[in-house]
Amino acid sequence: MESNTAQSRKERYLTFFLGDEQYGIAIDRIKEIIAMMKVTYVPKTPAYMRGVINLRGSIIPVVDTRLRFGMDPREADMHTTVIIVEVEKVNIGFIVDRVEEVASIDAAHMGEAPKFGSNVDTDFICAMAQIEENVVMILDVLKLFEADELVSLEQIQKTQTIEGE
Amino acid sequence: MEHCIGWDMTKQEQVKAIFIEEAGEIIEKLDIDILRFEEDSSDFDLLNGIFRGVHTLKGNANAFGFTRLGEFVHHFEDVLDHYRSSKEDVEEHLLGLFVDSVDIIKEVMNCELDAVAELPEGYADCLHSIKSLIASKKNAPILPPIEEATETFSDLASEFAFESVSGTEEAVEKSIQFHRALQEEGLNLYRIELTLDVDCYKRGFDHILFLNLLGEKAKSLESFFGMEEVSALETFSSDVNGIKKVHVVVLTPQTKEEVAENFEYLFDNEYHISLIDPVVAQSVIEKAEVIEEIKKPKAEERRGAERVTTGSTIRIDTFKLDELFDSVGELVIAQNFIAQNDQIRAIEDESISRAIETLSKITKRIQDRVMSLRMVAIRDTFDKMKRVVRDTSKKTGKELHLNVQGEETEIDKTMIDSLSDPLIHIIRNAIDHGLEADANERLAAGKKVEGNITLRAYHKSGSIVISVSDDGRGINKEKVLQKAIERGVITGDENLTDSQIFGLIMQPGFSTADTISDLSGRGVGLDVVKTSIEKLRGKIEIDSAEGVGTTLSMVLPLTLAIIDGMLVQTAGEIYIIPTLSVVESFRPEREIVHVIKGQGEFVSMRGQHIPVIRLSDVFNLSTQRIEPWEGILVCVETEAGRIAIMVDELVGRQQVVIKPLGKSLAKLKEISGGAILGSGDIALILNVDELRPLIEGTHGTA
Repeated sequence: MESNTAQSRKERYLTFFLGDEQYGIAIDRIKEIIAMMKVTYVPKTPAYMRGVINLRGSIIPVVDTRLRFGMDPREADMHTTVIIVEVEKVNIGFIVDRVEEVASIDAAHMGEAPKFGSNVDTDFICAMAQIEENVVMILDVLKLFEADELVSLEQIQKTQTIEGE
Repeated sequence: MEHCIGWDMTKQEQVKAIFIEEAGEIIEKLDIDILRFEEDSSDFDLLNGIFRGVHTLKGNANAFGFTRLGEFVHHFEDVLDHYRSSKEDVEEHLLGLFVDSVDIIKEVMNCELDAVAELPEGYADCLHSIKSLIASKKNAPILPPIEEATETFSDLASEFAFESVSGTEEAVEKSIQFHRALQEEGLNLYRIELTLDVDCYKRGFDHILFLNLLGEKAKSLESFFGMEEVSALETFSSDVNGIKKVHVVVLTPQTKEEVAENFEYLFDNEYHISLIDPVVAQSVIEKAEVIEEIKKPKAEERRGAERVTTGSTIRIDTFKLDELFDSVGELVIAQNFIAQNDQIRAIEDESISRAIETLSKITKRIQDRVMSLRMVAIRDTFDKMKRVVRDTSKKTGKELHLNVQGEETEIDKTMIDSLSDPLIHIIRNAIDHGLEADANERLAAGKKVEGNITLRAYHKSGSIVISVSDDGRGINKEKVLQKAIERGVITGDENLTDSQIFGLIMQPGFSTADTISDLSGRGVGLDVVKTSIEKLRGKIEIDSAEGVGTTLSMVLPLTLAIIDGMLVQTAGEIYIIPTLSVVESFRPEREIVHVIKGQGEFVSMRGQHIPVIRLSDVFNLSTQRIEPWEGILVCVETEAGRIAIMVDELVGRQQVVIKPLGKSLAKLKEISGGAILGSGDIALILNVDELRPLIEGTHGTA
């Protein structure tokens, strides 16, 4: 990890991988990182809503981030991780392929999100950052949340035809 | 008492906030006490209690410039004081006035708080009645209660007229000597000097109140008011003037600290309490010749009674309780995990199994205790209902008697608050529509003119039932059916049971009806009641017999956090059906299952056709399709009648702690929450009322 020598505005981000793409989430949003565990399927939800997990007595919904971003599903392996994010006292888990590191990113190295060119819904991406030779897409957790709560009935009905598990 | 008041408030605002809170409490208590007094007007202690409440209110109201409240309370206090000191029985026709007065006090208080300019309706009338009552009493020859007064206090009125102003010190000395003569073992003699600031009233201090408080415990008390600094009546202003110097000589069993408690509204420099040494007293007594025989006051008895204090309590933030509750829930889960773990069981060691057994016993005990922390007796809620009954009775002009049973029944605190409104609604309905309006109708039916309303709370198989019964006309089933068909709630082809017919009156379609009164009663907004009870995971049962009466029962879970659930399995997933709604579960015979073309499957039971809902279809679960006679049907009662939920098998029945699924899944109507099983797995709890997407309209010509 880089040390905070410079006085520039450095923020820390947890970075993770979905397929070959690297993403980042501001660390102050993250409550904990846990290994993949048994998920109970919740019917009548969009396919990306994988279900709920029992996190030490609390029931927390988990989202399959790959499906959320329109990527192909993938079997869980030893690297599969659930990132528990807290926004406005609500916890939600995001299943990701692999957690990479906690990186300090200088605000100066942050660029605007592209409007197209990726297979990711760009609404969730608030910035692009350069870490060495990698490009990291910084996710706006709040947007992810809002979009999630506003799951419309149409969407549910649409996804009902997709097989649940 | 806790007061969470920010530091940015001024001292006066702080005190005002305290006053408002206290006034609220006092008024609430008055409300209950006055009704009890109405029932038993010979209860002198109760009258005293009411007087004390009104008195405190008066002092405080004036201090905060709530003059309208102050004025009213002042006159009301006079009335109470009259009966209190004369020990005269309150004439029965006046009891209504008393109750109305408390009503006015309540309303005026609200007007004052909201700074509404106009006075509540009835204020002037009620005040007038009170004033004329006092006037009539004052003129009537009353035996002055001299004996009573001298027992405890010297007559306060004469203190105000104390002439020899300069002789205050002398008078105090005299009083001290006098009291020394009376001093006995266990009594302390104090001299209290008050040097009050101008704004003491604003801080909630009240001379009379404080003397009363002191006098309550005291054997004897004498006070000397320094009138020299008080200006003449013409220039008197309550803001600036006040009796600033007060000397009190009191003989009391209280300690100095207890006496000092009475001065909580004063600054330290405003009062000085000195204990007068009894040894010195001896010598003084010899000089003093004024020793009179004084009757032993009743105060001693009263003191004895008051010493029986109630058990000590602490207030706890409900949030903390919830946290504790959650933790205990986890403890239970962890304990279950150990108890059900196959590997641990395989050890077959006696000491281990004994330890596990002890653990589960202790866990159960802790769970029970923690549960009980949330439980409070329903008495307070019922007390409030007495008022509702009385008011409704007055309004409708129906004579009635209220029976209350099971006030001790304990119920979850969080539920209590949500219960008041539905209960008020049901009670009003019962009186307004349930009881016959015409006394002759009652007489003709062989009933007393006076109607009966019974409020009852009791436990019934793991639930709490709160019921309101009337002995009125009952519900006319035919009329309800007719109305329901008219309103399009039902088609008329359904084969409905009695309880389903009665249930119709709680359908939303009924409440909007404008001609409710030609129905045999009820139906006004009962759908609202139903909704709020269902929010508490309860249900409403109606039982009625024409001409005999109606009972409306709210069946509620013991607690909001735990339900008794039936665990079922389908497509490899476990779901929980609340046992409260389960009627029966069975594997149907092939013959009773019918498929109606394009309308799904039905099972015929005792002449009823119950729609079958395949859980795996509703939830889109991938599973091998089986026939109903290969699975299990769980028959449940829902808002829209019975349905049979088809599952693969029954797993068991257990109490589960309900956990919310989180905001993002809250919109899922079919699921009301989740529960963590002993294995650590999550099972979803079904909301059976929402499991009927295809039923309505599929009845057709069944």
